[in-house]
Amino acid sequence: MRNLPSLIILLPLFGFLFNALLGKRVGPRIVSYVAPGVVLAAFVIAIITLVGIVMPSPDHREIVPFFPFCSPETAWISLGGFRVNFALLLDPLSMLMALIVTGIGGLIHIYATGYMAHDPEQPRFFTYFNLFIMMMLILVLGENFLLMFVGWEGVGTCSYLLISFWYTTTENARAGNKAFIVNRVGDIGFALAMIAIWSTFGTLSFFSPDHKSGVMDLAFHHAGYAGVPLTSLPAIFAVPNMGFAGWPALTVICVLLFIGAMGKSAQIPLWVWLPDAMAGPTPVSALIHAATMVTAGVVMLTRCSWLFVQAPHAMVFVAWIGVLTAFMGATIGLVQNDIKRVLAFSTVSQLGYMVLACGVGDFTAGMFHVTTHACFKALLFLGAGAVIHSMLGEQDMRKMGGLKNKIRNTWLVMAIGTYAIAGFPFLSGFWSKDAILDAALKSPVGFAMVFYIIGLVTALMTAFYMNRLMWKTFDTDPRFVDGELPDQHHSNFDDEHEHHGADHGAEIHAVASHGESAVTQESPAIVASTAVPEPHGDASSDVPVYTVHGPDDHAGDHGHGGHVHESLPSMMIPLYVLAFLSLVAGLALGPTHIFEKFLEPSVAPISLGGLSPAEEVFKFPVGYIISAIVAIVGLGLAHMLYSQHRATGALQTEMAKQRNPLYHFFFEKWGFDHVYNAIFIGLGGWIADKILWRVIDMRLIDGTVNGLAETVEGISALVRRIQTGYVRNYALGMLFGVVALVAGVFYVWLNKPH
Amino acid sequence: MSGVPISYYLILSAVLFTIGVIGVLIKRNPIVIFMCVELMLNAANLTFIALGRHFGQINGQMYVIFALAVAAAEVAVGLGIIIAIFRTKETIDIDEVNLLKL
Amino acid sequence: MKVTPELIVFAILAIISVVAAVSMVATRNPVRSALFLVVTFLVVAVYYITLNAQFIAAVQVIVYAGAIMVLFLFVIMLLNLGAPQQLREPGGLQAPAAVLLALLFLGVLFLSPTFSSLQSTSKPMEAAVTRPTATMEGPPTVTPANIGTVETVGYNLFSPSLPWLFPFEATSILLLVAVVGAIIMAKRQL
Repeated sequence: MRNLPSLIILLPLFGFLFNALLGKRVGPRIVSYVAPGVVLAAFVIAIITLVGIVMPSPDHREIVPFFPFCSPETAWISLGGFRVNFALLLDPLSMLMALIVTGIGGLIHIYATGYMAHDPEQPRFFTYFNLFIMMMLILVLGENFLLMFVGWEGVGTCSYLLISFWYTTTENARAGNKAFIVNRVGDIGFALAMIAIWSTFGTLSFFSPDHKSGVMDLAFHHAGYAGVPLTSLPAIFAVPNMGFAGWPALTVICVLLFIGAMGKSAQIPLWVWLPDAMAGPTPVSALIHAATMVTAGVVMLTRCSWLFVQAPHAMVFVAWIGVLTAFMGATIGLVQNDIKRVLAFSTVSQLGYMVLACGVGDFTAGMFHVTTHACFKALLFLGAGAVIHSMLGEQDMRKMGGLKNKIRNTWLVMAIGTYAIAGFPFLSGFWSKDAILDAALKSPVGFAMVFYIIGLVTALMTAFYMNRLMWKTFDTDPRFVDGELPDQHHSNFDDEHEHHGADHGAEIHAVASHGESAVTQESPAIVASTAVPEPHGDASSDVPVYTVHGPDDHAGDHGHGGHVHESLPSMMIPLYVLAFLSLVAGLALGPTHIFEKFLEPSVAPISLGGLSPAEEVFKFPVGYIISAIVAIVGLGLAHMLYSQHRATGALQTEMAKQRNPLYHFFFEKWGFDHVYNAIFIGLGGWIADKILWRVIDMRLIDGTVNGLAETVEGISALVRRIQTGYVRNYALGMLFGVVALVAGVFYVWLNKPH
Repeated sequence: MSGVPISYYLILSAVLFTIGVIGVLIKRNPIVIFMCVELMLNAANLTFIALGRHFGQINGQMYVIFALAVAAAEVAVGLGIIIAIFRTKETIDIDEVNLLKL
Repeated sequence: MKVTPELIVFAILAIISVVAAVSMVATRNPVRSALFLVVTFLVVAVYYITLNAQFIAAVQVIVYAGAIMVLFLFVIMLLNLGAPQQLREPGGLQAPAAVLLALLFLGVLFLSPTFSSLQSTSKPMEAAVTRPTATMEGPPTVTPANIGTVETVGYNLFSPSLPWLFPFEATSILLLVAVVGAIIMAKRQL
């Protein structure tokens, strides 16, 4: 039984290897069964593990081996006093995240089988997708910081791979780069934190079986040293620890850990990669940038709650960053035009909420919001994907409108998601968001009212922009001509047939010419089909042939080309499931306190650090009522304003927008990209060019190396002249040697003591 | 003869040797260079004889006999070589003979 | 340092030999070089006599002046190298450097401890006063006088109990090899 949990990780690994090595050979159909299959199988095993191992366990915490039939003491690194084991930690937090990752991940996998069905590189997509699931599971299940870091970096890598999936477009490749690089900046913090943790605690394991020697165990046992250097740790540490540079050890550790979370969970200042990450396919955005990877930071904060509650300075920092991020994300989301961008900034904003919750000590509320957010954000992203798919690739909301009647099911689930995220009473978002606001109000580290007000304003904006999204996409008058939709589907190497896109309408035109002109072009992976949607052999028959989804093929299964159409069942069913969860999950888990009780063994109470909640401002239902009012006001405001502008779908004219400085500020993402460009690319580039390259590299290093060579050359040119070829000169040299020799001998002889 | 300190002979032979060295280094005709080498040999022989006489041993003269024999043999072979070189190259200016391959 | 007749003779001969040597080096005509060298050899032979090495002196004249120099002159005439050569030579650092270095060498030699020790302990050499008496029974009595006589030299060269027999016999092989080598070197075709 103890060997079962390792399957949770090994199954996606198997899926990854299968898709990587055999995916192209077995074809997209089998891949589309294997990839979601392994994830859902992992989900089942996670449930079994939860019920069979974690719940029966006395303190709901078990450490099991990483590899089946090995011991949890199997060492990964064992160097002197430094030891890291291959083990998994099963406790409520890790099981919760495992269920989210595999469950919602599985649903998104199913969705992706439909979304990516006609992409010629579908096997590669699912390879990366499975790899991501595996890495995320390592992150949440790892028994120590180093394993968590493996998963941390792994999901960053997979994020890069998946964002720049359609890499032949330079923008996508750049977006992937940006995501990975900014993430890595945060990872520095995490790595330094690990070093600090090891030097303070002597171990990297979270918990140990004997409850004595894990990092969190030690922090628990020495509780009360809030803000004071941990100088009185047991003698197992050889080096006495006075903190770092005069700062208390725990504060430094927590701040460094949070820097890692800043990168991963898109907080200020490292959030800039998330909007660009929308360049990836929509399932990627749903899974990675809504439900799982970005929540890794919050998970890490919760896992280290035992450390954080004893470092109130760090907690204040965390809370402030969180609330500011929430506010900023919402303001930018108000003015975006790309449907996925709105959701991206919404994610930034919601992540800010989660981090705020952690910052004020209510880690349970943060995790609750993680859970509900996973449901409704995935729902929203997948729904947006369905919209985009229906619109044949169009993502700009200004070109949408009037879709409510055309894709009614999509509209329905999107509406549920919108109301959930806005915090409409009794939906899941309502419970989790209000929990956070309540926690902010009871902040044990001060600023309670400030956090609360800002959080409330952000909630208002959230409701507003989400309903704005709904209105612009579905309810306003259509701003496109149905039947003449240009095909903007992405795939790699799609510039071969992209130029066919504009001139396809409802007419079935000369199909043969289309087929031929595409076939004669060089395309390594694609052979464009004609109207016949079955694979046909080509001269290069060893290349697997997929049908390319031209608009006329669209005609085959979805109705006439260029029309808006509802999405495939494989895409809609996950949406229904997620919609259901968004409706009831919050209600089932929140007010019944099931979630709180469940997560209790994994989370440290703020009393551990000697903190206590602020004075209660509102009595019990008042907070909820205020939140409900704010949500309804936000939704209603959007409804009111946009219903007056049905025709244009915009509140202001374009010209008015251009003249509005606040609009510009929000639209330009508060100038972060400009500042970063100026500093890192502008200034950094200038330094790299003028100083590092021209001076140091060209003059110093090349100068030294070349100069060395030139010096040798010069010396040898001089020395070469000794070898004249004339015997007389050589005789002279011999004489010179003789003179020196004789003189030397005589000198020694003369000075010899007698 | 008596009355001549040995050091005078040594000085003389040193001077002759040095002159021979200068000649070897300066002249360009290999035959003349050879002759200067003979001069150097002679100076050395003189030193041998003088020191042998000074210490009253026969060894000095013995060395000289053999040095003489070797010098003779060396001259014979050396001049043979010079003749051989002259047959290939028309000059025996030693500066022209600066390649290992004639 | 008393001015004895021996010293005067020595000095005159020394001047002659040095002048001849310098002229040998200085002249451009190889034939004159050869002839000056002969003069030097003859003077050195006289020195050998003053140093009680009579046998060697005779051998010097016969071999060096009589055979080797003749050979030199033969070769000079054979190769028709009698013409004086150019004095000026390009790349003229060789000559001054050579002279300088040689003088330096001379100076170093003068600094040699042997030289200075000999200088301090030098005593004039004695003249030969009695004639040697060599019989068949044993070695001749070696006195300063008869140290260089044919008898002494001969006894030392051929006596099996002394180490000089072997090199002497080996020299014969050396001469054979030299003869063969010289012939081969000088042949027009092997």
